Order: sequence, then structure tokens, then C-alpha cells
Amino acid sequence: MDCHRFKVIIGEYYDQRLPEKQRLIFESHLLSCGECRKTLQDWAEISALAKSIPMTKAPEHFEAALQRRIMEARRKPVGWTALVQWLTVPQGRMAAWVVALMVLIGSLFFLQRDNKPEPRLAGQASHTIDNHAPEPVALEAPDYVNVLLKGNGNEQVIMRLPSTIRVYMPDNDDSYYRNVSH
Amino acid sequence: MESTALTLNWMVLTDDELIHSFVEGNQEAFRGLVSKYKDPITHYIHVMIRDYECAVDLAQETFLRVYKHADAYKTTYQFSTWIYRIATNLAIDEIRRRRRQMTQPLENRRHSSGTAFPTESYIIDTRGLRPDEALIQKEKLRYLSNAIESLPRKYRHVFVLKEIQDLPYEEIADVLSCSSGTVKSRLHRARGLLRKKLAHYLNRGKV
Ligand SMILES: [Zn+2]
Repeated sequence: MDCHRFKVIIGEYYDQRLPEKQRLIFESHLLSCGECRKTLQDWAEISALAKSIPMTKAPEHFEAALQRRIMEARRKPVGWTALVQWLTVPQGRMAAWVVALMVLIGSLFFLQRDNKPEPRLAGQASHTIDNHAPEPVALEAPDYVNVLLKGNGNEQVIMRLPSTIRVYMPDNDDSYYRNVSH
Repeated sequence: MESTALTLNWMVLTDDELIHSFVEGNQEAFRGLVSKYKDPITHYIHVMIRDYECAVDLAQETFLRVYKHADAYKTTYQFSTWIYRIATNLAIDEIRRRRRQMTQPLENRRHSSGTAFPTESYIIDTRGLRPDEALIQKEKLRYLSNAIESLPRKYRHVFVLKEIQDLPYEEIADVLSCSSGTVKSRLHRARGLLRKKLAHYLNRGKV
């Protein structure tokens, strides 16, 4: 018979996905085709064998080990990851804007006052921020900074910021730990 | 560890209800998902890479990712599709890593997690079989495992998801990000290849 044509649908027949009409046509072909019958028989044996592969079970300590891994992963990430994560919360974004503003104004202030920067050794950093240090990062700036709103020829002070802003990086999300451990 | 009441609680919930409950902060719902899927996921990865220690490790990684990215889970897929997709990607990475190692000189290979060359680690239930039947069954399973492992990756995944994990075509297509038609043709090819590889062992042990 025209066995070749049926090679395309034998898989769907095997997985019982053929529409009724095609199924009947194929079954009538099967009556006369030993090759297709043998194929189906072999596939059935392979399926049975595959299903008899013993089910692997997760070990006893699976949950405990997973919990440990979750805790580890949730521990405070350092460096850029922490910063990026922190910037996704509104307080973080707000504080970042304020810090950027302070740095900008601060640098303008110092540039104006001191045109001759002190000579520094090559490779010497002006300041170091240690990610691991628990101390808050503090920025020194003038006594206060006015934030002005300009428009229509006049300007108005809308905010007066203190000279020092302390930025606290979130250390641990304690609520989370309480949640997970019990 | 957990009380019976809580254990029963998650068992009546659907996967979708569990994952949503978890996203809302219910840790117990996450435990429910772990209890439900830890065995199938471990088994799936184990069949794919045939290294139990590593399979357990990757199964945990799978759940860790579910934990971390639960809020990104889209209900357009079933939860099972999503978790199998994560497990599949992890298994693929691991297979790639091992393949790279095998092409490296021996001294550069890592030996930390299990064996690079898979060994037979299945315990086969031979109760109710005559000793000679049990032997044949064991031998067949070993050949099937070897044959599955030797399949090109795209055929192997489809075969394991269909024949061992029992997923329908459509879900396999979602897991592997391909069409049902592709699943169909790959499955056909996988069966054809396995049949060829196992020709010598099929229809034996039956009188
Ligand atoms: Zn035929």
C-alpha cells in the first residue's frame, strides 16, 4: 500500500490525536501493513519501557536545603545590585535624586571657592565608600542648599535642604526573615 | 514539620491558586508547590542528565527561581509549563557545560558534582519478575537510558516530556517555545531514532 503517506500521521495516531475520519482510514491501512504495525508495536514497547524508569524521588533534606538557599539568596546583595534594587523603591529614587543634586551643588560650590585643587598622588582616591561598612554614607556640603523654582522672570525657594544628608542603605529585610523562618 | 491541617490545605488548591497566594505573601503556598513538584522535577532533570546529585541541585535551583520570580509568572501559561521551562533551561545549561568539559583535556574537568560520565543510578523494582526477566528488564532500561541520552537535545527533551512526564503536545510546545507541529515532528524523529538504537532489544524477553 501507500505506506509513505501514512508515515506523516502515524505519530498522531499513536498519540490518539487523529480526527475520527483519518483514524478509520489509517486503521484500515494497518490491517494490511505489517510495517506500520511493527512501528506501533515498537513504539508501544519503548513507551512502556520509558514509563517503567523508576521515579526519582527528591531526597529527605530537599526542603531544608532549599530553604537555606533561599535565605542565602535573599541576604543583602552588595554593590551595584543593591544600589539598583534600592533604586526601584520610591524612597530610594527620591534619595538618589537628592544625593545627585547635593553632589552637583557641592561640586559647584567647591569649584568656585577653590580654583587650585590640591595636588594628589596618582591613583589616590579622594574618598572611598566601603560597601560593607555599616556606617551611613554622609555627604558634606554647604550649611544649606536652596532649591529654586524659576519661571516668569522671578524665582522662588521651594525647598531648603540641610547640609548633611545621611543615606541609610537597607541592611536586612527583617520582615522577610521572620516570614520565611516560621 | 507542618501540621496536617496546613498540608491538607494546599492539596485542595490549584497550582494557580497556590502561586498567587504565594505572591501575596503566603509562604505556606510556596511549600505546597515544592511538595507537589519536587519529585517530578527531580525525576525529569535526573532522566535528562543522569546524575542524581546534580539533578537535586538543579531541582532546588528551579524552585529558587520560582521563589525569586513568582511575581513575574504569567497566567497565560500553566504553572507546570513555567516550572518545566525553568527546569529544562537549567538542564540544557548543565548539558552544555558538561559537553564543553568533555572536549577539554582531562585535567581541566571539574569533578565536584557527580560524574561527568553518567553511571547507572536507577534502582529498578524487580518484584514479581523471574530473575532472568528482571535481568532483561534491567538491561533494557539501561539501554533505553543510554539511547535517550544519546539523542540530540531537541529530540531528547520532547521525548522525555511526552513519554516520561506525560505532558500534552501543547504544553510541551510552550515549555520548549516551539509549535505543536514541531513537537509532533521531533517526537516522530525521536521515536524513530530510539527504535533504531534499541532494535536489538525490542521484542525480546517475551515468549
Ligand atoms: Zn504502512
